[in-house]
Amino acid sequence: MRAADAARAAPLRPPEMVMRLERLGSAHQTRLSFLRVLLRRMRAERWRIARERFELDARGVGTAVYRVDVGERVYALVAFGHQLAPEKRTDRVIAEEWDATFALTDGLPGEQAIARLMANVPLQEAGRYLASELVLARANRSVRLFEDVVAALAQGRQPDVTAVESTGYLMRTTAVYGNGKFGLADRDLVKDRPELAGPFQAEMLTVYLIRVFTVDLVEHLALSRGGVKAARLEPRLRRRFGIGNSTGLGMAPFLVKHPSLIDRWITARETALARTRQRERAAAGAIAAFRAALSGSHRLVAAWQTQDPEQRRRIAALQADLRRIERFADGPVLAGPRPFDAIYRFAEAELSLEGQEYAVTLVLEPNGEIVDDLAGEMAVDESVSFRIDGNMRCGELGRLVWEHCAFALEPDFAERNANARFWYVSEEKLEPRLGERFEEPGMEREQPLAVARDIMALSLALSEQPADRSIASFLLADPRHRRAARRVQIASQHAYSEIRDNLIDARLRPIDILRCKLAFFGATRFDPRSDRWLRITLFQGAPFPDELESGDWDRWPYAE
Amino acid sequence: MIVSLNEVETTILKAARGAGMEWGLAEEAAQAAIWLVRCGLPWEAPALGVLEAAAWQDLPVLEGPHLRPRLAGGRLCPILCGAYLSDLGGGLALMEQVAFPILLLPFATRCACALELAWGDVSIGLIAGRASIRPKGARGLDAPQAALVTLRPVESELPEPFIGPARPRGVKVDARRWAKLQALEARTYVAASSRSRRSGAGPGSVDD
Repeated sequence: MRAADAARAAPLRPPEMVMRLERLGSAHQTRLSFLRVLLRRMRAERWRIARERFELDARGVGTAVYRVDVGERVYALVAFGHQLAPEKRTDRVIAEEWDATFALTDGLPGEQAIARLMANVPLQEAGRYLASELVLARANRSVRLFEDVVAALAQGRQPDVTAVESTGYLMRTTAVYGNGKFGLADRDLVKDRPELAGPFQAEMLTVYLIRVFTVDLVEHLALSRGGVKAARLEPRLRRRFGIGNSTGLGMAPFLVKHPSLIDRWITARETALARTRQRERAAAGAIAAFRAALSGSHRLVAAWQTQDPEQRRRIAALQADLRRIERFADGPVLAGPRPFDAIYRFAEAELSLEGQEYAVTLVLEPNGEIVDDLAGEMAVDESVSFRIDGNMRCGELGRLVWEHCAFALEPDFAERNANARFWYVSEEKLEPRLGERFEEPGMEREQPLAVARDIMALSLALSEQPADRSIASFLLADPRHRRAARRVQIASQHAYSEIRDNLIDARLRPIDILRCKLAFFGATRFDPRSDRWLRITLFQGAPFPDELESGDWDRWPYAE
Repeated sequence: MIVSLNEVETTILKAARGAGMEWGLAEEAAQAAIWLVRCGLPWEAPALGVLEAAAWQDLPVLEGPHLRPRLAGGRLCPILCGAYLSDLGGGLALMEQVAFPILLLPFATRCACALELAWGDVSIGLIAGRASIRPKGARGLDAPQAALVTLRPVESELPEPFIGPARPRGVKVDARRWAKLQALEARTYVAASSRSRRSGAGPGSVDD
């Protein structure tokens, strides 16, 4: 199916439905998630990943280098292992030391470059980097599991499967920086390379290589401790180790700052869903693939653990939802017309939001041949939509607000609750934070995330203007509305550019914003630790480099 | 120090806001600075100069295709007026008393038709994102003020060579100016309180 035909043929879910925060906060990984896109490319292009250097002592202190050959180009992960006093181990941004620190370099670094990295990478934000470095990251051990695994392997036995499943990773990253941060290469420098053209591909590659490093590290430590009797991880168990990640508010403003980019991500997923729903029949192979993904999902969701009461409730509902999908799919539906549309419609009518969005994931799984090309449409040149059309009249812009941004006109901003929060950047940590507007100082330094409030203010101002006044003249006289005017024009061209909720409302759950972005990354096992930060798992179940060429890994997240 | 273009963009954005510019204009300032960086043109002193002068606070007077400061002795802000030029896609012929007129270039380059901007001894042709500057190595390109900037559509071919946006591997900054920009940037930050430390990022964690 040609992309253009398919997109025309099927209606996409409306933005008023898709862009509600409650639904965005119920998103799941799909086959368009960035880490799955990376693994497909890795396999298709037969990337070669080799451990170039591994000089770590019996405590895990030292340097390792992983080389990645991607056609004509080479990338490398430079890893530094450190000894960290237990009292200094924290996932929060206040940390100043970590168990391991990493840089992804463009090309294989020489001795001089490694020495320079060694002087900077362990300092993370306090170091400086060059355009020869693409990504900076760090990770901490998941202390109990890490030690248990080393101990088991040192004694020549495999670690306890239940313990492995319940944690899911040996280390978790606490920050992964790219795109020009601290002097790193700007995305512009590499975005024309096919392997890095998609969103966050350099970051995903870094995390994948960190995962390889964590397994090499436990096997190395076990060997140091146990000598000849030490065991290596059995491949199937090894794949159960993903990489953990702790994410907080630092990630939240991204979705608001990049409206036309977010529109691309959501449009790709919604187009994939629409194409899938248009499929007249499911071939036997597709039916088998759907059932395999569904059956794997029962296991995945059963292993999804959290202490957060709300998320526990949602997981329980999702488990029930999966059983209902299973019963529904056991009927004649998959052999009938438009089977995936029927599954999706059943989900939308009958299931929880988590279940509905999981159904999206499930129906995309067997349809790679008609949806995977959409991964190539998830990047955008944001400068194209930056210019304001100032020849537009005030009356027209006012109409666009009603037509495309009605969500901004819903809240009553005279109400305290609608204005309860404000986003700011903390001087101490240089990280985004959420404050209580009426209880904390600093609201005059508010970050521009109150999109609904600002569009509402624009709408009021426009209503007082002559309808035929140009936007250019209006904004010259009152530049306060410039940002909102730009967003409304972007929203009129990009249906999924705006989160259709009030981001300063008293009831806002910031983790909903984080979850949406993390689902696009490909995260699983969302584990909220408060309403403002959460832990996730990446790459759990994914093949290791030495396995990439064997087997069918298309639906690796559901494999045992 | 070498900084990335992303650092230039975020620093100018926040510094402009810290200096009191509205967010939508601060975004324009950041994009304008990036365009100048890409073209290898002066940007740091002009951007800092505009932010320190806070010229956008004097709203300009528009008379047909002319913009002039409202007050005697006032100056036009090249970000505010450049944004107006970009919004309209042309349509201006004259601007009086423009601060750091080089900052108009990124905006003029977004206009659909080829334009010539001139002030003092400098004349710059702009078409489709690229610039042709005469005389070569013109002094006054980064002048802190131009009494008169003229704009006119050009029909004929623009003379070579063109300067266009490239993708530099970072850009060298002057430590003193960069520090001043960062000081302005810091005005967008909120100092920690015991409450914000406790709840701004969510309750603390136990690492296991």
